[in-house]
Amino acid sequence: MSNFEKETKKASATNVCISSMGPFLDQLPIGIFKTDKEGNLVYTNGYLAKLISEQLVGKSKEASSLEPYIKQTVRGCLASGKSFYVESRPFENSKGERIFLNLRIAALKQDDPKEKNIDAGQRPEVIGVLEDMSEMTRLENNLKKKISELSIICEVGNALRSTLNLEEILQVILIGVTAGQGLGFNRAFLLLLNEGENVLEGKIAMGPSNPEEAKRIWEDLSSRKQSLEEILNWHKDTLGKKDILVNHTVKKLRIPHSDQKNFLIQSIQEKKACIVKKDESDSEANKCIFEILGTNSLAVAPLVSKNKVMGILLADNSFNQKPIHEEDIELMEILAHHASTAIESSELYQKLTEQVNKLEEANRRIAENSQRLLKAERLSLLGEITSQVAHELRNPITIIGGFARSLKKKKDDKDPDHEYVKIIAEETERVEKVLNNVLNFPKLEEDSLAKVNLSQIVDQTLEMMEGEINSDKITVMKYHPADLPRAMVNPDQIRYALLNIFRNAIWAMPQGGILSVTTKEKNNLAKIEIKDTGFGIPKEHLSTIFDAFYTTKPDSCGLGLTISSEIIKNHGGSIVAESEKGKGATFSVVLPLERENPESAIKPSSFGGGK
Amino acid sequence: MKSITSESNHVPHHPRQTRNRLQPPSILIVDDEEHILRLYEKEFSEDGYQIETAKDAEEAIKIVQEGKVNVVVLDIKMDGKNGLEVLSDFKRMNKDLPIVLNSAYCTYKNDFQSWLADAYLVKSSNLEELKKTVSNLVNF
Repeated sequence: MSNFEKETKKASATNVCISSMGPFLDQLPIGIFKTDKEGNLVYTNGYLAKLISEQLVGKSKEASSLEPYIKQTVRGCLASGKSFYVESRPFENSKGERIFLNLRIAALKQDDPKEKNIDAGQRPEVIGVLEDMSEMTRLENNLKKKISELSIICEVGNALRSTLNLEEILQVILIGVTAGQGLGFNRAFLLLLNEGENVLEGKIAMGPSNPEEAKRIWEDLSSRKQSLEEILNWHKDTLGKKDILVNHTVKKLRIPHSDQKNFLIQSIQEKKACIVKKDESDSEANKCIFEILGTNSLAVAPLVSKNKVMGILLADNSFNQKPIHEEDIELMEILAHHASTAIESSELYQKLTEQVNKLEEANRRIAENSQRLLKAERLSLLGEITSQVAHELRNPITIIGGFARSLKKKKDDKDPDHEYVKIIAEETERVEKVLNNVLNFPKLEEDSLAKVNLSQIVDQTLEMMEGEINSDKITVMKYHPADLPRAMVNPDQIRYALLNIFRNAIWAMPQGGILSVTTKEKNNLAKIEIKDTGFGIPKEHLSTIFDAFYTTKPDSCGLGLTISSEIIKNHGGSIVAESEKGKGATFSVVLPLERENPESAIKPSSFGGGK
Repeated sequence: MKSITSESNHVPHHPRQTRNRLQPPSILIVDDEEHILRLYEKEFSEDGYQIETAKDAEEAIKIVQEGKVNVVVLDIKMDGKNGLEVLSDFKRMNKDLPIVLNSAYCTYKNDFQSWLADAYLVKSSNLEELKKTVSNLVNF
């Protein structure tokens, strides 16, 4: 038996029931009918009769309303010899509502013995069932829409959570409101509450400037077929470069938070999103907002979290004039809620970052101060120690110098010893001067200043060190310009400062090397460059070599370079060391030059090594 | 260039004690540094002074008690009694005895006890100033 025969047999059996079950069938929420072989309805139950009376209009060209549609379908069914099933056939009722019908048709077997007593002309040929699927379809569509809305919210929410940068958050909100894959508004505007001035300020906006641009953008976007996420990412890259006109427009909005009559303030206070129309506005001020934005209808959603007012989100469809529906508002309210949370997080993060920065700054200052304190302590200790050392030296120097002077008086000028004794006396006098300076350290006495040639000071210092420099191992090279201007300095102190640097250089070259000293002039400053080829200073120690008691020499107390540095600083100069481990060191001493009265003579120094 | 030594010392210009002009003045040098004593002894004796030396307070007091000393050159930082204490003792014994404080330190000048002295000189290998001060004090 073919399928058709089976269906037909079933239908014939049903036929018996139809005649006897009329009242029951009328109660069923589905349409049941029988037709003759021409497709004319010979039985309709109550439900179908009601459907037919609603004068449904079909959505296809062949059948404009329900009854002709059934007739046509039945004919098709009989011609093909098959049962027939149509799913969700759309119609529209007189109210303009869409109705979706499922239609199931089966032909009856003509020579069924049980049907013999019925008049052949009226004998039903086809039985059919009609189901109204409108509610189901509507639910299904709603579900699809809800899913799509949820996915929009989800995507925007994800994008909002992905950043703590306020600018980016605001961009994401605006994209969510305007993107076709988002809420699909034409334009969106964001106003934030300026807490300091208690004013709602236009901050940022997104949307085309005119209908032409709108058309171009929509065409562009539809050809790209980007997902919302892609659009969000794409916009992040072009942050703040687009939509200049709307941004200009939104910045014109400044509404005092205290303006109770303003519809934006009202929306914030009621914490409720709404649709506001220009022609429903009761005040000029409210109308003015529509004027500025150039629109007739606005979707308004407040950005409010718990108890804090953040601002307000506005959207319109000023280009395509699409009406704003309640569902749009609901969605926008959810988006605004996410946005508020994101903005609040961003603000908290901002505050946290500020606090962290403040703490870091405070930390840095404490570290700096403790360094300074340490240095001050070292220097004060340095002062104490140098003073002690100087005092301890005073007696022996007095004795040596005293006896030398005493001997000098006795010796005949021509006696060769006379010269040596004289040298002892002079040298001890120089030591006494250094002691006096150290005791006054770091005070620089005005009347101890003399105008001197720094090249000469360098030469004198090197001469003083003749005994310390092993000329077999160490080559001393001096480079002096012929006409170095004089500097106003305390010559003893500068010699002492240079001495420490030279000693340091020689100490760094135990295997021998080259000590080169260069004096030059630049911008009214004298530069003395002391370069050695020794083992150098490791980079990490460069910043501490001038600190008191810093030393790598086993037999040194670490005061030499500190005193040098202090002396040079007291002269208004500076000292810098450059070095790399194993590559020697260069100390650069810079001292201000005295240019006035260049013709005045150098004060002869009696402690210059005498050569 | 002024040295600290000359700047920081105060030197009297008039002798305050009369002595027997027929005898050379007697000078007591008090210092715990033996070589300072030797130097000063040599220098002052060459200038014609009679020299007494003491290397601590005890010795010095004994010598002054003998009453022959015309002027004292007194070190401050010494073991035992320091120069400032000895200075008070001397001035109690004989308020007219001229005393020159001679120290490696200039800081004692801020100590009021040092103000009792007739002069305060910081030690220097150049003894000219010390000699001049002493000679002024004893009018020699």
